[in-house]
Amino acid sequence: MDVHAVHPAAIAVFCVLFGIVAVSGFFAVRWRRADLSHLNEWGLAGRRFGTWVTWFLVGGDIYTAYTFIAVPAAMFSTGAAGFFAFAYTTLVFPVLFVFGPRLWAVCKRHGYITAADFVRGRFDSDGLALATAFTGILATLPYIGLQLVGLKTVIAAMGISGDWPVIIAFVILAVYTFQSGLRAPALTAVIKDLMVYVTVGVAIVYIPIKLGGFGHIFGAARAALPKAAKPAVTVPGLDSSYETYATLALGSAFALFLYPHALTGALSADSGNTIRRNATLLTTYSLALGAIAVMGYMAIAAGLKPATPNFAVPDLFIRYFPPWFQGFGFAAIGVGALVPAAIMSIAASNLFSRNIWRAYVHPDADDSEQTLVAKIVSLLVKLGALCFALFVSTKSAIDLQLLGGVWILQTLPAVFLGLYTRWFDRWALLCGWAVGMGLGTWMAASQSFVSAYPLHIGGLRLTMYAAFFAIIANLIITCALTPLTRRLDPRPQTDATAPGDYDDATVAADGGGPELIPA
Amino acid sequence: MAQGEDRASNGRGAPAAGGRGRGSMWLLLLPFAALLVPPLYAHETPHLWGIPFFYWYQGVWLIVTAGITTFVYRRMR
Repeated sequence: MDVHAVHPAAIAVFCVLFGIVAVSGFFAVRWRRADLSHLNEWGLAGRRFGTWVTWFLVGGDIYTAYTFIAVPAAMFSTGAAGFFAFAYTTLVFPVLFVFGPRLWAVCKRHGYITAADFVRGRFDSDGLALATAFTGILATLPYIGLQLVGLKTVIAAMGISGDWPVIIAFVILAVYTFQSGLRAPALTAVIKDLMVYVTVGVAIVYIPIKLGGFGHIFGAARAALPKAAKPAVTVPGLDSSYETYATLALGSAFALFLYPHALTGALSADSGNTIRRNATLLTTYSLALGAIAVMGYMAIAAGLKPATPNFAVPDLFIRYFPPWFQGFGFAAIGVGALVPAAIMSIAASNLFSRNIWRAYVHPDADDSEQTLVAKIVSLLVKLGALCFALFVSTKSAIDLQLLGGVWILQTLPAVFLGLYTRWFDRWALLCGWAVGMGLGTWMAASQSFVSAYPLHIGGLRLTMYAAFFAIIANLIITCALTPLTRRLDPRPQTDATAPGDYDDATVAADGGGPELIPA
Repeated sequence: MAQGEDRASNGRGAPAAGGRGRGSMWLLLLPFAALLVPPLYAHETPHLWGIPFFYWYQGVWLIVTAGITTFVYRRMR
């Protein structure tokens, strides 16, 4: 299975579907036509997306090419430990339900496009906004790079070698994102998800029938995993660490909607209730994720020996599907790379344009200049991600993505807790952020980039998600320093927001303030 | 202005009075209690359709979580 044969039928189906998606990406500019020289339109599609479009768009964020490849790969090689992704994608929805509508309301009221805009208004600090924006961009870049890894994997599985298909795919993506903004991934997400659900639906019914049922699949994994080079189990026992599983699920659940791309999806909704309804409806994606995760065990039960665990699902499709349906499934994964990559690059460019360009380079930038900067940066971001995917090893890409999760969680006190209280002092928040970033990075690096760090307290050993330790340190520093730094910096902190701005029903009733460029 | 044509609200009746049904939001903590203590469910048996308890328990909690968010949403509306 190391060398993949060329499958013309699979390639043909893949190319046709990919072409349909590319054309609709360009066509998206005519969808809900508006003046795309406004950042609110290019970068948030005018905040007019209703329940269904938001469902597809946010689903596209959570459920990426990398998920399709990496979650089953983790199950294939690490067993039950990889299933935390399922618990995490369950817990993420109560988090979205609670924080999403509040953030939507205050952002709508004040015309904020990014989380950093909100932080700047709430805590009256350009520095804290810069830290938030910088963290968001830094965490997003390797994530886009990993989408390319997913795309490269399915292209290689069809027997095509070389980097040129990935380059072509990304040039197409870059051009239609530049032109259509957030409308493009929203429209293509609809096509992508229909393909994904068909593929997953067929795979989860057909392959278990071929393999003799779920009992046999889990039984085969239970027998094979402990004998692997790195022994693993299908059900965590006393020897494996429960606290790693729990903190990974908890930390990831809070991290997801701090990522700029996930926030962009939520902020483009037309009301707080659209977000709440989605917190329920999006659980269907998690069901599909659970099914995809189990495909890692199906690959074990089928006796597959993929070149790397990343090929577990592609090799499974090749074993059980006819070539044309392989092409369909691979196109679902490949297009699954384009949708989130587009949203991520738009979100990162919104951050750059609003919180770096306007804040530090050209404060007089008007709305159309901000939009132009964001469009150009979206090209640069994708070029960077492309170089990243072509010249950085896959291992380093995954390491950096892991660090991205550790980093983005450090913006939680300013963004999520900031929605409820402005007790924190801006300098204390900045210090807490710096400590969290440093500690989290050091912990992950010292373990050669596995997500869990073993902390020894007395005789007790706690192996937990590095981001979890880092956010605890961050919160302690922030709380401890707040009374101190407030005394050191007696300048008043003006809160641009009022308590009523956080109630989405009130904001929806009054209409948003079109204050796109706050003074 | 860019937001001029905003459909100003959800368009589905009067917005909720601030704070109605907020108490039921505490229910959203239940999934965390259920899923963040793995010793509760890290068991092989009982099986469901051949699937170990560890897996289907978490699957059931996904559905329960969807039910809880629906319930809370209806209370708040």
